[in-house]
Amino acid sequence: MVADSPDSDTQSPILSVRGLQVEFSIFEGKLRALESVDFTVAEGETLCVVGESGSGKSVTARSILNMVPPPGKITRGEILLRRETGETVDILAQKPRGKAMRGIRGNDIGMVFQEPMASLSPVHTIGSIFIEAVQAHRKVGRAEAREMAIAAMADMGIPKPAQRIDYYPFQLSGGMRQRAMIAIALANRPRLLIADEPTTALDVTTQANVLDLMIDIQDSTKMALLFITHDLGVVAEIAHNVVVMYLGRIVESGTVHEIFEDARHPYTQALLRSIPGTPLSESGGLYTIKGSIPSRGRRPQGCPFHPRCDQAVAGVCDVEAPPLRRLRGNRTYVCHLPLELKG
Amino acid sequence: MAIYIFKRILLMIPTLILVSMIAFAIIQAPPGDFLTTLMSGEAGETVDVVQIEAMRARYGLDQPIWVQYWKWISGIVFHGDFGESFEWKRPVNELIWDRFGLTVLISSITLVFIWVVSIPIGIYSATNKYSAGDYVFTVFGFIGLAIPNFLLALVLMYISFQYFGQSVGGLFSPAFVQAPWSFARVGDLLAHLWLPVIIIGTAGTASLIRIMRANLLDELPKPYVEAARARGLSEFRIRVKYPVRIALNPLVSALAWVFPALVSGDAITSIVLNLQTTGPLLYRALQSQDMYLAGSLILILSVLTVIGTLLSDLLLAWLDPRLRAEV
Repeated sequence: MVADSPDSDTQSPILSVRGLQVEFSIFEGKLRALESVDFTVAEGETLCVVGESGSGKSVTARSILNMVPPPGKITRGEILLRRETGETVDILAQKPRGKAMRGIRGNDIGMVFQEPMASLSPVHTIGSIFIEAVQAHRKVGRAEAREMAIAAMADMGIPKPAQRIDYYPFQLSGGMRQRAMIAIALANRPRLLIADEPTTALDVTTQANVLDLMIDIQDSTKMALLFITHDLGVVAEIAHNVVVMYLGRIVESGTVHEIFEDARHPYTQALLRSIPGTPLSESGGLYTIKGSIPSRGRRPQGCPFHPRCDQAVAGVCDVEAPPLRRLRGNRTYVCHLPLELKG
Repeated sequence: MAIYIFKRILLMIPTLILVSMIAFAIIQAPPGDFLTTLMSGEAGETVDVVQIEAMRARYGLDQPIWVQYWKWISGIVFHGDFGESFEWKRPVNELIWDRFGLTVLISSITLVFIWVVSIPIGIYSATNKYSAGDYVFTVFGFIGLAIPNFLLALVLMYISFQYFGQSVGGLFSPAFVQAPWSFARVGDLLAHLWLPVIIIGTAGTASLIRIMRANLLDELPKPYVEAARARGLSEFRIRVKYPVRIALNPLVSALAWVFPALVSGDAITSIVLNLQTTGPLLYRALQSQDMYLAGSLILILSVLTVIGTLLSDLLLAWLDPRLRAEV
């Protein structure tokens, strides 16, 4: 979505991703993991990226940090980041392992990962990881960095931060670990925080606490939040805007109200119907989307969703790639339906 | 932690008692004893039956096995007396400590050689997987693993003799064999040392490269590495601080068995190179059923295994906080 809506004009985005394309070289050939991905995130905005596993959510997050794991390669597009100084840099123009890129990671952009246990080194204390993160980007003494760490842990609602800072990850509960992880990601006050399913590995109560915490932090820091999840309940709670992905493409985007009240893409509609306890699903048990995500490299002809779509029109959806329909501003969807709109 | 160490040391006592019994049982296991070897003339002397019976009584060989065991072990524990070698007709003490000194010297230098060479190569191979360099090291590694040590010893001896004019075999040039210790003698030792170190170390280096490479390849894709990268750290720093550190753990646990293996020395290599280490001594003692000598060597090696295990456990606990928490 090109940033042409009145909303986006007044708040120029911190991050804008345009035409992002990522390919993975695998044995069978080239697999396109992302194609034509466009979105923007503004200051104080929460953008939720929604999709099943394999939809390209995580690759999108890693592209923004220019660290797509091999054999993946960013083959096209630009990712513009507005830095604190006001200058705009194209992340994809930086060398992935270069100094400039390292100066952005963890500094302008923080990232929180899905598994706090696996994402923290098992043999280092929380404090040592935090201090290292701070010292990677600013000239701060050890003692001062340690004070910062204790303060940050306290901000995250971790009790007894002065003691917990010397704990190893395995000595903390899942929720505390994720809080510590968030504290580390925010150590250098990034303007954009990417959270890749940060609450998926947590139990429901802890999940709610961590979400509330993230909302509070965003309220006070005005940072942009890119939140990746497959949980539409979480989306309803925290999102301002939503991007729905399927097989590496954005199939629908809009504000959280537009997506929940007026979903246009059959995939989004199906996702919404699959939420337990919503009116749409109450008739006749829990709705499930038929079939499953096609295995890699087996992208269906025409609209990639058509084999699982209950509204697919034979001779259209299985033949032609669907058009991008722009309703207004950032409100878009990619579908042949309704057919009469075609032309 | 202190309690853990204390408990571990306490646990060593029954282990050691059991080990000493087994060591004694093993040397008693083959039929006959040193005196039968002596009678058969294998030891190079001829003796008559009366003499044999006299010796049998003197050494207590006519007594039940537990009496013999007790005599042997109590001598070691209370007097540091390992008994007398039948064959050499000298106290075992005199025979082994010299050789242990040299063995430990060669072994520790070999161990350092192995680690210094294989860890960096292993790290390189893992971080540059399937690169030309990785393949080159892999090929050399497999060759190193495949060539038997004695063959390597023969080839290298030939080369050092033919092209470097070095005296072959042993750890000293003929002029220094009986000489007292001096700078010149140390220099001579060092000039001879590289050969056994390379020969004994090659197989270990090759296998350690593979282990290090595999360990690190397991660690590199872990989420904590990616998370460190996302914090803006340099690749070098990420690797040294996180995956390499964790990949070293299995190497430390390998110390438990590397330690005694190194001290026992590579018997065949030592025989080929004519090194005065414990390997050939044990080999010979077992052949001639030189009971106290063989038993003492086996006992010392077993004790070293137990100590090596303890050391590697303590090192691991120090390296890995997860283990510390469990103890």
